[in-house]
Amino acid sequence: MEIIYLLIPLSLVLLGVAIWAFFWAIKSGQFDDLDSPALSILDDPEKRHDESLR
Amino acid sequence: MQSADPYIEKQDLIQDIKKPVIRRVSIDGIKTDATSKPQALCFHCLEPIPKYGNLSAELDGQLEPMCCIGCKAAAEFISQRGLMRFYQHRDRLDKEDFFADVANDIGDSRASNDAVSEWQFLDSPTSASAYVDQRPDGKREITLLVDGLYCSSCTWLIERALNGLSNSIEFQADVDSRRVRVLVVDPLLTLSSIVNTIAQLGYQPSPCKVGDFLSIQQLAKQQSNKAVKRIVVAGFGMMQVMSYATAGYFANTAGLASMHPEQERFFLLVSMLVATVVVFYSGKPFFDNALSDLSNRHLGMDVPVSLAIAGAYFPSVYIVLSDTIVLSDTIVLSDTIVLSDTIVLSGTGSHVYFDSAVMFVFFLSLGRYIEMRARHKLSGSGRDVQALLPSSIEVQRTQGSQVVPTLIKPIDVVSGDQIQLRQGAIVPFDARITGGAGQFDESLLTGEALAINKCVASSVLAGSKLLSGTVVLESTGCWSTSSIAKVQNAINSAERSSLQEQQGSRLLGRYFVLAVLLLTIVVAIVWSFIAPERVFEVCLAMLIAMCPCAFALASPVGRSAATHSLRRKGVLLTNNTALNSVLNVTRWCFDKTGTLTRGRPSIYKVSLLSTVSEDKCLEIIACLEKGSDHVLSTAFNDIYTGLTATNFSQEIGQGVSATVDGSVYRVGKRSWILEPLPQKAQGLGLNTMSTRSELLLADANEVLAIVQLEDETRPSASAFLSSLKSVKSSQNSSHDGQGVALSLLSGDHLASVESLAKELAISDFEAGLLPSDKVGQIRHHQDLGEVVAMVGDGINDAPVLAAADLSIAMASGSELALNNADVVLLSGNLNNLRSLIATAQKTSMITKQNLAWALVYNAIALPLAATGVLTPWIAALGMSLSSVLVVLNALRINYSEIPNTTQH
Repeated sequence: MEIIYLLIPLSLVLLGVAIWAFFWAIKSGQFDDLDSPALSILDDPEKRHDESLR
Repeated sequence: MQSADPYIEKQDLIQDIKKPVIRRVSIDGIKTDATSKPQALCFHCLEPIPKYGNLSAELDGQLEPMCCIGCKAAAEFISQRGLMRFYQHRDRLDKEDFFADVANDIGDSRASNDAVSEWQFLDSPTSASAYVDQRPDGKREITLLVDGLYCSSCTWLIERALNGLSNSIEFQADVDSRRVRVLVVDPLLTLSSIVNTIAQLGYQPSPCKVGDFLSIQQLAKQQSNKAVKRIVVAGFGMMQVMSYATAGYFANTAGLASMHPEQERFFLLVSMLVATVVVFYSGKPFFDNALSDLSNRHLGMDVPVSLAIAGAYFPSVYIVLSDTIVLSDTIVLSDTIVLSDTIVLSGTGSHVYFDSAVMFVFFLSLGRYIEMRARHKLSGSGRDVQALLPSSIEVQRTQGSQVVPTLIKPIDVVSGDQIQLRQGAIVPFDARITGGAGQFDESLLTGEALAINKCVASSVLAGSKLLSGTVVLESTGCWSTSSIAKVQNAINSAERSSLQEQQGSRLLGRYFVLAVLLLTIVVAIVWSFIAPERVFEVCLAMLIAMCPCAFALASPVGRSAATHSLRRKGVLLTNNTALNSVLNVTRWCFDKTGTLTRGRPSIYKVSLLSTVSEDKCLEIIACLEKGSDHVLSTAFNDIYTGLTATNFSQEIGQGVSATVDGSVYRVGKRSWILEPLPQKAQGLGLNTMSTRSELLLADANEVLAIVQLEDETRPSASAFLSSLKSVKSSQNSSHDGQGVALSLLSGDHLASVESLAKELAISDFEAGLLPSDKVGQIRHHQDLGEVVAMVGDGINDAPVLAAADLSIAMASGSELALNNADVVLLSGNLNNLRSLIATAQKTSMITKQNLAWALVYNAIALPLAATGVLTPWIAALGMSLSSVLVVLNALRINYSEIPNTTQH
């Protein structure tokens, strides 16, 4: 059972990473526009420009 | 209905068609009029083609029917850019949803060719500073409010069209608030071309100021982002703490003596770590609110919530930090003695409530977030009256002895400023005409639908539209004295009376909270005599079990579910109390023009007086009226004409004349037409239909036709009004359960109001009313104890709307009305009001169920918690479940079956 002393802090670190990733996603505007990216896949490849929707 | 198909008949007129293929669009699910042949639909907007419409556009070699020149222009624009896939992509083939308003509105706004110059101020660095966010890295950002942006295929279309301009445009759209944010990297690309491209697609863009709206929107975004972060932290934390607690529960239920004390302490410490983050990060808003409530000597819902969170968290921390192992063992022992049946389940963790605290924070944050989202969505739709005016104007200002052209905002106008207005412009301030003459549409301010002729020395109101002519105006005052500012002030003062209602419900909540706190204290005192060591546990269970969460959620969740459900049907609620007010209404008052009627003239009847065919007559009129700016000419916008007029001349207020195919034609007023043809006057008879406007067409020798125009009654009006009469108000005292009363309040002349009232079977009607008279009428009914709903449209209705107990505006009305009405009908379909009433009834019923459930739950939980049977974790679970039940029940509003309202 001693392994929990390693595994649980590890899970906390992973939790921290997950939360950090989510915060980053919010901050970088991943949730700002939920409408137009869905349709960009329908577009012709040659007309695609860099979809840098910040 | 004409016997021949209008498209086929007009085929020969369209010269340059390679493959004339007539294809009728048929879309499943769109109902056609049973009495006539199947109606053709516009290829672009899916609206039915008007009766006399015969437009078509050549798209990819195929002729497609078009309802109006706006749609034609938009479809050709789309086709030219190779974006025909738009028509396959659009996801909703529902004509009501699918930018029907765009199709209707663009007819008048897109006609002018100088659209680009309208936006040119965006390219000059000085005048654009209010709208363009110039970034240090050279990028420019502009936010546009795009009228007509309804779905994701609209955003797709705009994005593709903008990419045609430049590949370096970053684009974001928010359909809910109809806002588009464009970030331009290319320094050579003009912003006016971007706005113009969007306008050419058939949308109506208007730039948002950097300062005012954007900050509100960004604030909302920041708030929402913060809330999401808090929820995510609370959610992850909850899962962790729960799993740590489960280890403790499991060890006990499995019949093991207990966990190893060191492991147990480790679990507790980790739980405490996670719970600390959750409570202080995610729970911060609750503590903040509770503290500010207390400092204002006011008991809000957040007070017991914070007490419970703090009560679960801090003692647990104390237990963990003090010598845990020994202490928790003794507690287990004491538990075994007092409550031997719960010991198996609770065990060691029973007095460490980290899981309860974290779960608490999570569920409450989630509830708050859902409500906040609903609120933000609604508040995004507001715009103020100034948005109607041009954003910047160039005036001739007298400074000392010389006159200098100055670029100002309308709000900075001073008395004596002069401006020259061209056709189609909006009058930016109250002014007097000092030169020229023109025809003004004052419908925004006065509600008068017909254009008014004005010449030198007459005064014009800000917000009027110059329909024809060129005038020089001199300002007669400053902003604060202008008519628009006065209207705004009137609304502000009319609005203040509705605040008391909200305070009532807040007071009720306060008493509830006070009762909970007092009861907890009483129970604590009682328990201190029975079993002092259990006082704390019982109090916590009391606070959690009695937390008025289900109570607090019951109405807001019902409200937001109803709001969303209505939003999808095209009804926008802008006021929390509107749903309640709907049920209490005993009298519905309607405005006429633009509310019960469409607000745009259409051809009612064509009387032929010669051998020239009806189609030929209409085509000549359409050709002539193309050059006219008279309001009535819009009735002919949809008629395709292959003819060209020369020698065009317009007599303001009388008619137009021009040479078509070698002969002179004149279209206009009866008196003006008959002036050179007095001998023809007898044969025409009198214009008995005084409720309709008429136009005469004549050539050099005789009168060819009389066209009667009418402002069509909305098809949905009659059905809606008859259904309204059967609706029973919940306040029936004054009507003995006979349904609600109807009134028609109009500023129009008596004859037309009377005929409409007869048509719609409204017995109570008033004509020739000024806005102040309408307010007086509403006040009069209110004094008799009635609850009055006002359905209106236009700026002049705004004070009237504000005076009513429930105000409903049509979206096609001015933005001001939209801003101040409780309810906005986005689709202009009166039948949607039936949805509103049905949803309000359903919401009221479900909210009552929820309140009843919350009451029953609390009634059961209270004695159980007070007697110590309910442990805090069961109480927390019960509370959460009861909240979830309330939310799930409220979601049923979304699936309510409300009569289908496809008829427009």
